[in-house]
Amino acid sequence: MRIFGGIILFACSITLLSASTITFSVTNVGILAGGSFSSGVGLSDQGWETGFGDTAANLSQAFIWNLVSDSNIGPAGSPIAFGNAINSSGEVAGFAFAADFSAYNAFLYNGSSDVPIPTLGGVNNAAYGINDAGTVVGYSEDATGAILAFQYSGGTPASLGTLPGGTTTQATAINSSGQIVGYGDTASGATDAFLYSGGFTDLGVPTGFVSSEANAIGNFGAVAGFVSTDTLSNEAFLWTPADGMTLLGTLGGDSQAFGVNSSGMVVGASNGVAFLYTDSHMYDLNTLLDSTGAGWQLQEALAINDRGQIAGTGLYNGDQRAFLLNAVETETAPEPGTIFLFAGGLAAAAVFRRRLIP
Amino acid sequence: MPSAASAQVVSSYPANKWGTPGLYPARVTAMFHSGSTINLEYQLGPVQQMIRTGLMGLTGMTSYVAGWKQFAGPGDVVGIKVNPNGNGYTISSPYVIMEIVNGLLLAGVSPRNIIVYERYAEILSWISSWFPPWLQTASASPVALDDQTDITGYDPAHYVDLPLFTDWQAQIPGYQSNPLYSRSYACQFITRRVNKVINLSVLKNHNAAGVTLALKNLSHGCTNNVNRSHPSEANYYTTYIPAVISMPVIRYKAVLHIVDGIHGIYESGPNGHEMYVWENKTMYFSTDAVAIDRVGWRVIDAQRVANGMPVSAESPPYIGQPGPLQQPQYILSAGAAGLGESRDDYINLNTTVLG
Repeated sequence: MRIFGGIILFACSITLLSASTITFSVTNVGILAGGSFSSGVGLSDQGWETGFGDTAANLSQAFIWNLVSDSNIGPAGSPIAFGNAINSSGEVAGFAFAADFSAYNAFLYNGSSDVPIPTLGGVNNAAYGINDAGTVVGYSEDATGAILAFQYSGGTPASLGTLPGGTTTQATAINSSGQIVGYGDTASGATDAFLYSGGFTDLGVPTGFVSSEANAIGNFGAVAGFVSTDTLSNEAFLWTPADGMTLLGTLGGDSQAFGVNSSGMVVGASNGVAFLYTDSHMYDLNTLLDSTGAGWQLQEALAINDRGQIAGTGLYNGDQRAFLLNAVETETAPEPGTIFLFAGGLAAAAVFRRRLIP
Repeated sequence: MPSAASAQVVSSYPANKWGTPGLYPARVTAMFHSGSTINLEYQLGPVQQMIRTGLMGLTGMTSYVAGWKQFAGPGDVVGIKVNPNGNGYTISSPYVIMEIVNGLLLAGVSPRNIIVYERYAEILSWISSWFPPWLQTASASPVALDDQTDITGYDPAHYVDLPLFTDWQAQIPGYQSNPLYSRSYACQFITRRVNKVINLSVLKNHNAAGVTLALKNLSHGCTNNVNRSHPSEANYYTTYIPAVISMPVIRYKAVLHIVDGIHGIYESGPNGHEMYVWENKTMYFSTDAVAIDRVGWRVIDAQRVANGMPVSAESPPYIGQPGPLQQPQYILSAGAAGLGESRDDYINLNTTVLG
């Protein structure tokens, strides 16, 4: 995000584009050599993407796409591996199954090799988030078999513990400030989304729902995820410190949010299609594509960065492909949109302009 | 015999595009591979090929992962309803189960969100030793009992109320007004723990239902008090099964139906004698639970006829023994109830020979 002028205390972002004016171009991230499909999962601020796809050897491997080409980052020997998150240094957090499928373990790709991330004493662990400082988050079994969220910055991973009265947690994302989100059970047995910043904040569950899960956090603390009814019918949410939890609706069926950026723009999937939520509206991303969208069906959007780029997976002429969306600049006059005032609500008025184009 | 109209279905779950007949109504994809079993032993490579090409054939996708992605993705919690009950040749195969798990993982489902389910823990334990340690399992009841009215593990908010009773229930004064007897509750596994179900059944004759395929794997695998569908004097599957499958929480969570017909059993099922097992070497895929069952019914009846037996609907429970006729006609009543396509002329069956 670029900010011109003004004073920002804590965090404040204003979406200046009316969503009706947003148009996206689609870039096909492609496939690994000899492969047949790719899935886009994580996105860095410079538009690099990670995910997974198959290879000529019929393995599913994690990849990095650096705007030019896909690189297989392994890990070698794994039949199935997933790249889940990527930071501005091109480091990737993910997990991979053992060759005999007996276990799966988190790894950190440091730009040249895959480094195993130790467990908390158990057998399995998985990494889902990484920030620009290189801190990885995910979940791990401990020596008793309990599933606990962890953060890892080299050396030994640290357990985040549990929500009060709970027994299990799972971390899904971490932002530049080191704030971590995820979900865990509570004393009541319900699953609640949490924000962790040295201690847990239970994001709660709105009336009519029984559980919540947080999947993403923006650099200014906006959290995206989904809530579930007692029958696991899901609805995406956006949570901010100022406004708490806002349900985002659906495009029919249910909805799940997987990504959020500093402006509070949320992406996810609803009823089998990728969505963008901004300006208090949920949009089918398929309806926002320019001419490059011919042949595409966008199924899920899993990440959005502060430049408004979106990563996900769709069908391109029937082939499953990871995609990257870039917002196309329009000449339409901007109009004020969603405003977030965080951390006590002390935010000065500011005049700034954000551009979605890379 | 009670009519389907007398059923009261109490279950709240939003309709979606996945519930039977689902994304591809009336479409059944069959994959035959001559090498899928050798001397009644499943062969891994052909099994994987059958499932992968089956998903592609059903969905029209160019990769099997894209096929799986039509049914599940990140954020989903997916149950695999297996069928471990039967002789060792006609139960859910580890190769089949693990290939389904593989597909779900590649569709983006977290390994923690894939759960293999069978109604009875004891029966599930017969196959769970095959699974990798990280793969979760779940059941609704510990063991199979004659009295299935304990609702521990079942959801009081989701049930079908039908005036059908077991022999022993009908001996108890006031039984008709006892909701524990007149109701079948959906298991909590399907109501509260998963939002998608892959329904994996096996190609089997059933000595009362005629055939046990996708519909019955769901109906009798996801509710309690099911014995009342077949008391000693008659069969009531034509009423019971459509009513249970009509429960939204079951209908709309079961997104894909797979009938493992690599092996089949055409008489004395579901736990029948090995002499009736044959190598059919075909797997079937559909989102339409009725259409896939109609296809499977025909396959089993054809095998019966080929072996000199009457078709299942004209057969007693066991050849040469008295008892009510088997009742595969529940597939027709499920079709009439709008749960899928049961008319042969309207079913789009595509069979591919892989090898």
